[in-house]
Amino acid sequence: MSSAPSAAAPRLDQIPGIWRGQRALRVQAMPTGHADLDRLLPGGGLPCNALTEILHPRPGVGEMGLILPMLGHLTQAGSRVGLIAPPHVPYAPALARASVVLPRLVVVDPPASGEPLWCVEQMLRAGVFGAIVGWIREADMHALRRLQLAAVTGHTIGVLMRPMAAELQPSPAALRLKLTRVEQRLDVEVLKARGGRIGDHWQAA
Amino acid sequence: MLWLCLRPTRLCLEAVDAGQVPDLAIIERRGPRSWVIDSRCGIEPGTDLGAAMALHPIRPLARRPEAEQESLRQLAYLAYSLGSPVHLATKAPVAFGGSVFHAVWVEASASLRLFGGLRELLTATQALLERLGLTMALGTAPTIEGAALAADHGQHLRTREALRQWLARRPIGVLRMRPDLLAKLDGCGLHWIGDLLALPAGSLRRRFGAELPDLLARLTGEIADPREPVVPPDRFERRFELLGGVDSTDGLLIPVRRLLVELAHYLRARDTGAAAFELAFLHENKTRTSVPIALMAPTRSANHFLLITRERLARTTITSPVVELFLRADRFDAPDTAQLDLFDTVHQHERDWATLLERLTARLGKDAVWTPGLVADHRPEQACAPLTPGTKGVKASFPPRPVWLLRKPRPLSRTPRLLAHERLQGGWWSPVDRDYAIAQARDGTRQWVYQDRESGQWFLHGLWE
Repeated sequence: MSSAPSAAAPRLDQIPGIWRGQRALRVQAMPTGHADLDRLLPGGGLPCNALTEILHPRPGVGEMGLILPMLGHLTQAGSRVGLIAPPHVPYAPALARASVVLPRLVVVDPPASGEPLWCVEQMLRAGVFGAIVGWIREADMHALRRLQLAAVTGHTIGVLMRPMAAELQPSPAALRLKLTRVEQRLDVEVLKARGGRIGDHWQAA
Repeated sequence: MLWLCLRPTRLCLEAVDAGQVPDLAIIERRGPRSWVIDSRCGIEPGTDLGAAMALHPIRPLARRPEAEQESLRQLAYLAYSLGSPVHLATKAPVAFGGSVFHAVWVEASASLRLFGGLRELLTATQALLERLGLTMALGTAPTIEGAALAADHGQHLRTREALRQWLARRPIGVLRMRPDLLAKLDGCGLHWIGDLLALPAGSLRRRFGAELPDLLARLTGEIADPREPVVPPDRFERRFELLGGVDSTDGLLIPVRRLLVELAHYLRARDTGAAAFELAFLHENKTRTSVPIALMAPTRSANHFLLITRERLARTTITSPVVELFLRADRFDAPDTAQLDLFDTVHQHERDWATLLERLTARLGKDAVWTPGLVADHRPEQACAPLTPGTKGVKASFPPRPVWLLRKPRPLSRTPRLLAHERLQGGWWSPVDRDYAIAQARDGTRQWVYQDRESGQWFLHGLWE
């Protein structure tokens, strides 16, 4: 009887899904291309197969600059990238300069207000995109959870660009970043990071 | 020869109604009297209409032979995926209280090896029929008439000998003959088909006319039973009446789905595919809505048709109840039959992408999904063009440009702080005459602004980050 625990110990260790406190959660992530920021994020970038929320006060504060290197990298690697309901026209000359392969970029302008969520979900779920970036104003917990699930099903990086008002709302996203302008520079705060530290700041050069 | 007989036993009812009307009863009239052929409320077929009305508050509807014929033809197209040739037959009731006979036969002996046996063939048949929404009886026998009788009893008889033995034990009432002739036979003490088969054909003919020995000979396969095979027409045109009218797109999906399944079978029977078809609704107020549906590539998959149609219908608003549905397809093209490949992940990926794109455009409209492409034009608005998703613009190089272009330039109330040496100028041809510059906002973000040379007014046209 006394030998039973020692015999059971290695077996417990082999069972996947048993979480042990010492080891950090391994997160599969895609680098954003900003090395100092990537160091703050679990896995070193935006989580693959999961939802990332980027809260920003208005378009043009630097939210595209944040993800453009990643989009360029993905399209060059042969993946498709989708932009859903962007606030303005994604300008091809600038995207081409950021080395985004334009034919692999798909923009969707849904006509009605309820449609962006549907589009983002369908495109995440389809599994034919490397990343989906959606500008979503209103979404409740239920809708966000659906998107998170769709990102897992489709093995796609889901990025939601959301207004600052969404900060207080609970969210199932694996990563939440808050963008502000501090002293004329872009400031990124990690609001939530599954498997990582929160509260860190990164300022763009 | 091995004939598989498909008997849609409730076709009179199911051809006119896909289950929307609860107390529907189909009636047939012979002279002044009417009787119930089939009903949704459990009234025994053959009941006099007056008696049936007293039993249950039914909604009687006269039988529609042309709708039945249409449905039966669709069933025949489906049967072409099981074998060939295919025949069909309809027989109106012979006397008061009688039932209508509908059947489709398909010669399946050559297909048995393809499917791997009779049982597998029947399983495949059941799976095909499931989506058609018809109640069906199946039977197999070496002769056409024999298969029809076998279907009534769910029998599958492989040889003529087995058929003959099985027939011998059936009462003569199962033969579809005039009631007075049946009564006469019964009066002679001939109660079983076996009794008839034991008698010489010559004396049967003398006594009861040529019809009876002829039927028996075709039943047992002693004489051939040649018939005209069903040939699919050049175009697919299908009409479906909706009883009572449907006023929601969700309610339309059930009958639409049925028509699309029929279209898929028609295409299969003709071994072709469709890249476009037209769905049309006739409304209660006599107006007509047409919903043309175009696909990226020809296909004959009912699921694919339904997927795209569903998205398309979600965009369609129905102003007045729909009383009739039309489905028409007249341009056909062979589909890309995908070769199955063990390492077929890339092709699957591309197919998934095409399907998704079709769903998006079907729901949001063609212009809502695009890929930005470069155009060799120095005017900012024209330098970026919306292209068909996945296509490539021209090769052009531009000086630094903002990532967001405002759809409509926004007038600025005061002169922006311009960053030195970043001024871009072009000889814009009329009516555009602008000086572009990069400006810095108070929070440090860069903006793309221009001054209209004529009015001197500054506009915000792009956001940099």
